[in-house]
Amino acid sequence: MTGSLSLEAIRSAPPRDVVLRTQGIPEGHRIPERVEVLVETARELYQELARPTGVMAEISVAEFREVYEGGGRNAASSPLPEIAGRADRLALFAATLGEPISRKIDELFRGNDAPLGCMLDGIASERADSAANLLGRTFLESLLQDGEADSRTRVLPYSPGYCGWHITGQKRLFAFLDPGRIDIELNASCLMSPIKSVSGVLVAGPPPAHAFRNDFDFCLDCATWECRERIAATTQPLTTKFERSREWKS
Amino acid sequence: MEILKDIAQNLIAGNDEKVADLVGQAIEAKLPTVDILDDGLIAGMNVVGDRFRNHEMFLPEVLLCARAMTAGVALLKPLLIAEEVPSRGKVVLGTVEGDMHDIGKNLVGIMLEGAGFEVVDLGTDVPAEKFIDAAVAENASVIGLSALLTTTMALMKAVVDQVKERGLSEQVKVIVGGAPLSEEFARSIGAQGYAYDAANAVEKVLALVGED
Repeated sequence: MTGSLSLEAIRSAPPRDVVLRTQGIPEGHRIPERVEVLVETARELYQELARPTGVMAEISVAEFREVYEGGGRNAASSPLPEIAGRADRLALFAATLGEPISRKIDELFRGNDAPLGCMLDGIASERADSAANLLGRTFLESLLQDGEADSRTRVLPYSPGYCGWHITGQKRLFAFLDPGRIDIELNASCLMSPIKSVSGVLVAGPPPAHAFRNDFDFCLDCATWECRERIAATTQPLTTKFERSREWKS
Repeated sequence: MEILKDIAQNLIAGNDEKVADLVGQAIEAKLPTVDILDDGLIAGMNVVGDRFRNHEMFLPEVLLCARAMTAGVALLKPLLIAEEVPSRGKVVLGTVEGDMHDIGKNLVGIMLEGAGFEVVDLGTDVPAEKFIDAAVAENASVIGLSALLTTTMALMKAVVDQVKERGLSEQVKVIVGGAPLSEEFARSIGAQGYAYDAANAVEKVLALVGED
């Protein structure tokens, strides 16, 4: 599947408890009234300003190898070439929440309103991650509809800048995908504008296709190790198509 | 002094308007500027720092307190300059070259200013030599480096190396932070400090300038 998509499912702000989680606030913590006001104001701002759109294009393993090579600055050894080689299907993707929300966050910080700026930034970051996941689910859905995937198929996004894929890989990704059509631009340092944008490759394959070891050179410097949670999640059963579509719309 | 306690209490509550009002009253009452700063504003921020460390208070509340601190400091600043009260130190701050993420760096800047430091924010996508040039030009004692991408955090070493090459290791300490970083990484590149969040950055910078 190829084309641009309006990501209506993430047009609305996440619920209050998700917003609080983006701020590191645990469930059950008593929230002062001033913070409750911040949460609601930030959610309203998100809904007023966010314009989530995405673009996706399928790519063959051979084509992806060329994209991945980028400017030749990837880590000497990294997991993605092997993962892509084990994949059933691949698609490049990019998504953005649009310029207005990134501009508003910047204005809030510059205007001495860091509390609201940080709250809105947390919401936007969560929604940008959700955009990548939503595109992944859309990709999976299309593969299921075409009979190109089965109940074991899982789709995970991988992005330049992480796990050995150098950020300069964005150049070839952009040349192949043309996210300019949804107003995402790349600057001289290969960073995207608007800043609340995500890009990468969607990898569709059975759970073992996504597994990789965690002793690459760059793993030693990584504090999050989110890859372990992602790999573990691929072993969870898929919900039905109906339930998934309800989840997307919630 | 009751008014100084009130300043601290309202700062802890994140009430910036009330803090500004009370600091204005304290100035009019001709209380010593340093007392208003130390026993009112900084005393309040110290409590905030403790509560944050103990997970009794979280980021949005801390930022409201920092904004209240900023409101108070803005009123005191002309007096601090006129009375030549020295700041706690100057910190050059920025996100390393190739990285545009600035929220964490901005939060560290707000918290450092709240703790009484002068902050020179170089923004994002900052080349290594610019950090060193700014530290020299501003006579800063600390350079703070931020990165979110695992591929840009490697560029932090270039800053540490250039501090050494230019013979500035005694005067300028380097502290690093960002989601994918760790204490081990900071040690491996020769940085003198690592902070896991904005409040921790204040503690680490205080230690680097010998005020812990």
